[in-house]
Amino acid sequence: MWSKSQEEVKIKMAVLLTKDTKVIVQGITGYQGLFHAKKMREYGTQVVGGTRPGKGGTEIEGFKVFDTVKEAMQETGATASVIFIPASGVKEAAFEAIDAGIELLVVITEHVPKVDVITIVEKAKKHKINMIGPNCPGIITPGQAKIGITPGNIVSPGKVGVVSRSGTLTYEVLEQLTKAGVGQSTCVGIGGDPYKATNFIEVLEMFEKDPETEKIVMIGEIGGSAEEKAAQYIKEHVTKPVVGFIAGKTAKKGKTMGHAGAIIQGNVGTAKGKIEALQSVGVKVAERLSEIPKLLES
Amino acid sequence: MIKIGLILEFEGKNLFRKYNIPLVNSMLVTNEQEAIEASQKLGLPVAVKAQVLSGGRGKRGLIKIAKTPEEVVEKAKEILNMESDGRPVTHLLIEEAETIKQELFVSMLFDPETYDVKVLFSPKGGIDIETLAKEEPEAIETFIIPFGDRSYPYYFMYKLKERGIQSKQVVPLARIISTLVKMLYDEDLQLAEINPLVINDKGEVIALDSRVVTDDDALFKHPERKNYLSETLRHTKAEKEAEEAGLSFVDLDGDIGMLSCGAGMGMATADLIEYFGGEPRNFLDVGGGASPEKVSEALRIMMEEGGLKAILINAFGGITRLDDVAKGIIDAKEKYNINIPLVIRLTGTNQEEGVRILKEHGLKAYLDMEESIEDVVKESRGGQN
Repeated sequence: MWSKSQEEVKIKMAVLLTKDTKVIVQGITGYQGLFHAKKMREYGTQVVGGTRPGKGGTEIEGFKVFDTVKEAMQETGATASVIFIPASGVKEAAFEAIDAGIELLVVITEHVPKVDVITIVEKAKKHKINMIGPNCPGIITPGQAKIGITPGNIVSPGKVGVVSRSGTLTYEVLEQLTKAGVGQSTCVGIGGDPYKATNFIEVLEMFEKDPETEKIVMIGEIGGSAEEKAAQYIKEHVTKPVVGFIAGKTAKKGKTMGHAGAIIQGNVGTAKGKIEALQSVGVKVAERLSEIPKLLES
Repeated sequence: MIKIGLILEFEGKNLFRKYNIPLVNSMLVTNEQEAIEASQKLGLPVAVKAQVLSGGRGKRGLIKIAKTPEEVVEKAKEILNMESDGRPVTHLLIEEAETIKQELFVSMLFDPETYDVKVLFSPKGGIDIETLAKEEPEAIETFIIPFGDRSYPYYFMYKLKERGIQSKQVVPLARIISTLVKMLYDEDLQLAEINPLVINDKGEVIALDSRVVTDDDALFKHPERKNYLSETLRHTKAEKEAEEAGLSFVDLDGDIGMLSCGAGMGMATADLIEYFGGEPRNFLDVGGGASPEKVSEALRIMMEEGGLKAILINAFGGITRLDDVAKGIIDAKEKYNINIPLVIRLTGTNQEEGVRILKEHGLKAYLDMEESIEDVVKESRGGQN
């Protein structure tokens, strides 16, 4: 979405997140925030604390709590933040993190108003930070760290980069890959909303440049034209093999299938159109998820 | 969660009024008597307009002009006896009838790829814009307004003059378009459209219709929308109950009830059901982090809808805890007398605990998605392959 020099991208890669990345959780005292802060820490992520305005100076389950993102960053050296805050507070939380100079921002929350998302994304672009979400499972670098809600026990380290618009479907794919003995370099869940900070193209670019990634799995779904645009990008810029999957073949025209992004309008956004677009640029598209490991081998 | 999205004409016009977009006088009524009274206050002739969500009202006889008091009664009665979107017409907008010189079209939305506001304008409005786009694409102009640039009327004045709009109308038209752009941001709208936007015999520019789609995720900023009439008109009973419980529910045609935790997973599950030769009856997504109560309520709604031969619960727990899912299933099974095959697949967060709870109650859980789907398709055919 925004261009960076090649050097910069390389440094941030290994894709986005390593075991050395220091992470804070905005909303760490909340039900989901605390639960997943613990899960992230268990997995090996350096969760160095979190924020909850008004509770600065306290501790919760061994996590330091700060009033502001700025204080948290200054005291812990955190460079990444993950937002577990209800939708009505996401805009302010994201603005605070961006203004405090965070380098990587992951927004897990769903149902953030579109105008708020657009406003946050534009600010993130202006400050040239990496932002993932909203309404996404986050990032996991198997064997190193995770930011977000992807279960840690379904991944294994390896050479396949996974990028997906869906949450649970991503887990399904990761588990099938792991069971088949196919490890992953990084998995980025970009989120199911039509408006989001990072789309397929940006992640494909990262995987193409990442020496740890040899092959790519891309999970799309009906609605919008992100998969079609990704196909065009793959044709022009991606040399690594890509295996695709598109969910929503049975969807009815005009019906929203859960994800706000997954609505078929006119002739744009059907599963058939997306599958054809991907196949036309040499992407092998799996009919069933269980075929993905095999297609990666061939 | 309440879903409103597209709102009714009079609700959209109430929003327009707040921003001084020029309208003609109108009154909302629910019977012939009120219609007569409204027409007396407004003065004849009037337009009698059904307040329904589907478009193409003119073609469907849901908008009629009445020139006499007798006609007002007759047309109001006629329209109130009609149906739209599977339910009777209950509300009419009685509106001063205009003498129309020209019909224009303006529509705008956020482009999901670029976040710019995309404005579509045509001096040929009134008719179905999709037909116009197909038959005469050059009659529609697109203006792109970059993010954050609320745009000044002068910008549209330049554009409209190029399209041959007369000096007298350029100023109000440009103001209307730039106001709509502002409304998209300030009112959290996904779409704002006026068709027709008319020039009357006095040369005035007036919004004769409104088509506005609101962003449901922004309801916390606009709580008054929870009371909109459009909200009560929208859904089937099951869909409405599902919404209230915070579930996403879509009616389909088959006989396999399908509950998923996550939309993408739901879609892939539906695809696989069809792949194995079955047909989903619905698409019911409890979303991430569902509580036992939510899962139980989802099953209740599904059972009440009926038409099921088997139910599949496909839960991959990320943010969702599978012990919560299992508790919800047991609760529903005990309360709602689920007497059809229940095929369950649990993998992910707190999986062991979830499987244990099910086992205690004599239910088996699959770990593999495809196996569970093959099984539910088989069950939906009475156990036959």
